[in-house]
Amino acid sequence: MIQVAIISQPLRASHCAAYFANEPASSVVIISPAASAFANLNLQEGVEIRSPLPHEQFHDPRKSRPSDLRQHLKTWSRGGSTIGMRFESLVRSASWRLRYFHRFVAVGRQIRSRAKHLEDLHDRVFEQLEDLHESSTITLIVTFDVFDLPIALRFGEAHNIPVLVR
Amino acid sequence: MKVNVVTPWYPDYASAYSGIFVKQQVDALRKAGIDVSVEVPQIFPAPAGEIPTRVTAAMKHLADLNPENIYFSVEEARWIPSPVPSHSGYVGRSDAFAASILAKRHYFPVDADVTHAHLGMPTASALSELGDAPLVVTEHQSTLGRILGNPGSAERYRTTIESADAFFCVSNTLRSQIVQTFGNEVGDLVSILPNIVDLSNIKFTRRSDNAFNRWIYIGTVAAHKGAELLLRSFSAFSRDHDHTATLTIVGGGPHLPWVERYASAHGLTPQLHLAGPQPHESIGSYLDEANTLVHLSPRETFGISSLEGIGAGLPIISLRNGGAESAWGDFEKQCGVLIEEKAAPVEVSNHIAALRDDPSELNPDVARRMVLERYGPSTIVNKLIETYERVMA
Repeated sequence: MIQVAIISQPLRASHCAAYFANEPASSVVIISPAASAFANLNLQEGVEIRSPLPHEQFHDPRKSRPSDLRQHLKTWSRGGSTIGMRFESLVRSASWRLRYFHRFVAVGRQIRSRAKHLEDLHDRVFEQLEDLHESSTITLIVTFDVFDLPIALRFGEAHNIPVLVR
Repeated sequence: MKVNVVTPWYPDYASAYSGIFVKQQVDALRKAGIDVSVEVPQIFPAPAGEIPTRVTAAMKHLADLNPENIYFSVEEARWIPSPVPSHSGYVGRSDAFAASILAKRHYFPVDADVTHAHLGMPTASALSELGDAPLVVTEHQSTLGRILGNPGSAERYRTTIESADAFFCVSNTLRSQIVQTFGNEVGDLVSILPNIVDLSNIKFTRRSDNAFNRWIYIGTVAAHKGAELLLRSFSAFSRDHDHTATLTIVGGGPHLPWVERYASAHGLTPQLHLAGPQPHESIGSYLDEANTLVHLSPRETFGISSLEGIGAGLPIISLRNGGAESAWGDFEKQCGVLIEEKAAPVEVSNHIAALRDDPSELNPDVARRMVLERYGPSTIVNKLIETYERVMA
């Protein structure tokens, strides 16, 4: 038996994570096309994130996989040289600004482009709900984005599963 | 007397701190025997353009099945999901609030003698459109300048001030912005009513050492809250003045990963303690362990955490951020030190070292008494009740 969260809009990812921290369930699946939004959030054990988009390579943001080049650069910059230390300081200073800005831009782009592919996304969400219900019996659907509510209700009413907005 | 408080900022499971000052006001009013209901319209970001009928219909259908499914209750407050289209601006946000509050009240009507709105825009503006009266407003937000800088939202804001039965700002910093934008005629309609600073869970401790080496910061860990300056200043202090110094950060926020990486890169990890977000009731125990509160946010409308630090007997190192000068600037010498906004990390560190070397003017007892007299729950609640009675008459 599982509870399912649907959240297409990544800006409320922290609300989603906090909800399940306060209302724990043994098994939760979060259906979201923006898995990276959960990267810095503490998700409880038993909470899994799944993308509804089949072409998206799912990358668990909780596991970091630094590239070889990055590893080489780190080794060099921490080798003890002053220039290495200054290089790392410069990269770190630039990278947090870029990450902050990039996330802001990426989320903004997602908001703006949402309307275009929302219908396609929701068809896939519906398929994923069907697969999940077949394998594990969904007992509750929680939406954190009211734009996901029509599809959640359609599925919930078809299978007598309660739906909440939180 | 029944008061309906409407606020987009209120503590919930996602944030223990959001709007804690509003909750403290609500709790203090209830303690004084006032019947208080709370509505919390919460922004649900939506794509640009009109909210599609299928979404509003789905929300109505879910509420028809059971209103609690959508208008849920947390901490005795009723939450109202408010879809707000992106790029709709402050006016659009206000209109979205009005629509969602109206929809909620169909299922959970409100019966109050007075409505108290927190934030002039979008909240009070929305309630004004709905005809809530009498209407008392408290303005808190540090983004007021942006609202007033846009002609459309400024006009709506002015109308809101003029139609409210009482309009407060929590500090003179905010009131000054209103006067600067609209002139004295509108400014005269605005009074100052600060937030409550509740010291009931905060023990006063007289520190026996003046080491200034157990720093604490309480609040959101974000770039606009001075997280970077805080870490760099701490690094400078540890390097130049006291390598045994420690820094405790109580709070969460988007800049935490940067804080951890910075500490790691500068060998500060053993000196850094990240407590994460904590319930407000537990703040006292963290303040008790520290001997210096450092608040380097460049902009604050009030700065409640500094005042709580003063209540705990801590010296406060703060930037001149608007709220600090307004709240305790006239007691600067007794409370700590106010540093110019553009101060470099080394300057902040040296200011703290200078205070450590000569703390003779600090007077924690006098400082705490100032906080109790100016910002204690009974002082603020009495003024609020007086206002409610006046507008009801």
